[in-house]
Amino acid sequence: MTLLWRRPTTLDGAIEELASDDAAIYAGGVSLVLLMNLGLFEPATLVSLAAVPGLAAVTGDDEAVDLGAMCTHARLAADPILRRTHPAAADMFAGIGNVRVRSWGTLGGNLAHADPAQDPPVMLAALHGTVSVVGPRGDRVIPVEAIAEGPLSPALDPDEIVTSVRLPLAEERSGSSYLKYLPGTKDDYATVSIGAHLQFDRAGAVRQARLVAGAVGPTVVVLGAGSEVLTGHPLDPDVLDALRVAVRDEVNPSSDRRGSADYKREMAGIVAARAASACRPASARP
Amino acid sequence: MGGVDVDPAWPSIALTVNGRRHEVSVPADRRLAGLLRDDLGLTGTKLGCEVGVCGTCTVLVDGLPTSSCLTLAVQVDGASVLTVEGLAAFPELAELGRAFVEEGGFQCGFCTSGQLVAIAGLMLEQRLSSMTSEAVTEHLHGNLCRCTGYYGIQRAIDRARR
Repeated sequence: MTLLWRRPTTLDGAIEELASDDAAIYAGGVSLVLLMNLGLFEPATLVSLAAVPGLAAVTGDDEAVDLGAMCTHARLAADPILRRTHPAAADMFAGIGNVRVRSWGTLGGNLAHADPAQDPPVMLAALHGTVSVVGPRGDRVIPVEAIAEGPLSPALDPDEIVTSVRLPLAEERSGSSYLKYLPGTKDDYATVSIGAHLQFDRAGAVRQARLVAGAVGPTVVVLGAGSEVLTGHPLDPDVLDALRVAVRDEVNPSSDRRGSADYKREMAGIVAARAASACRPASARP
Repeated sequence: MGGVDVDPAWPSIALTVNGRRHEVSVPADRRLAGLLRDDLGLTGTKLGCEVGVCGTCTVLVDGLPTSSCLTLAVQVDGASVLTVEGLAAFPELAELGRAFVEEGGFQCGFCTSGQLVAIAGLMLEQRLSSMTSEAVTEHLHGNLCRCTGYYGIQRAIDRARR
């Protein structure tokens, strides 16, 4: 099949091009060309977003920071606004894959790839991120954790385009962290990863907790039970151990070459406890 | 390029490779590695895993380390590409190649062009000498070598850093 390349210069133009059969959005190319190289994906038309203006900015206001979908991981890792508002997210972007992936891989492409072992959806869901999507039937906003229906199955129509991710500014006395467990190589997909965002009260007890796990299910998983265990308690060793057990019992991974299901369950609990511990605001650390 | 893509199956692109400008039409699915090796005859760029992991096909696109196996040629329209063949034009890199030879930075040599380009990228941005050795290792962890155990490469980098 002969592949066609389209390079629209407006968002509406891109939506129109995506109406043709087997058309796919081309952002940075790293995941998409990888799937093409493996013979897993054979698009008829690629619609590049590179010439569509306004998709690669980072902007902030009093309530949130907006990350353009065409921002590369390297760009976000170094962005001065994101580094100030959400340093754990900037660190997460700095640790994705390898330097070449970060050069070209984009935020929107990463989320639309819908791989539950990727880093951004885990951290950004923990930070209460929402995704802005445009399409021929109108615009919509969905939570980051809802962008995937299953592995490599985004909850998007083929002619819908992710335009940005909005992260609300962190509350007072809150902290965030992202930890991935990489028993193999540093650029491997995580065996399990945890994004955590905790808000504390003045006494140092957890007021609200949000924990999200990656690579232990068909999509990223918001850990309801895990978050509940923390609420109302300081992060003492007993509470962290209860968190470990709750997360272990809540996730449902499958066995693969990165570990057995039991092993991943155990490690999910341990990584969750470490991630929660790393959320302590600087003033509350011993 | 601006408006001259008359054939979406064979887009026309213009790019600079190692300082030399090329205007070519390529099939839309041509990878950058294929453009360099097959169309332009620059076979110093090697293809290894073809899934972006091994780093053997690393080139610089506008200074960015890039897996040329995961990049479509049409994607780099208008860009400036530097491959291993272009490194000799930079006098500040002369010591890097020598260091690889003298410190045993390779055995079979298959990964070497990717290693050199990845390190050269840091040197051309004048970052190598100011980076911690941990940061250098972090930058290069995506360039695999199955011969040297990385010791010779590490020694060569240490020498080039001085």
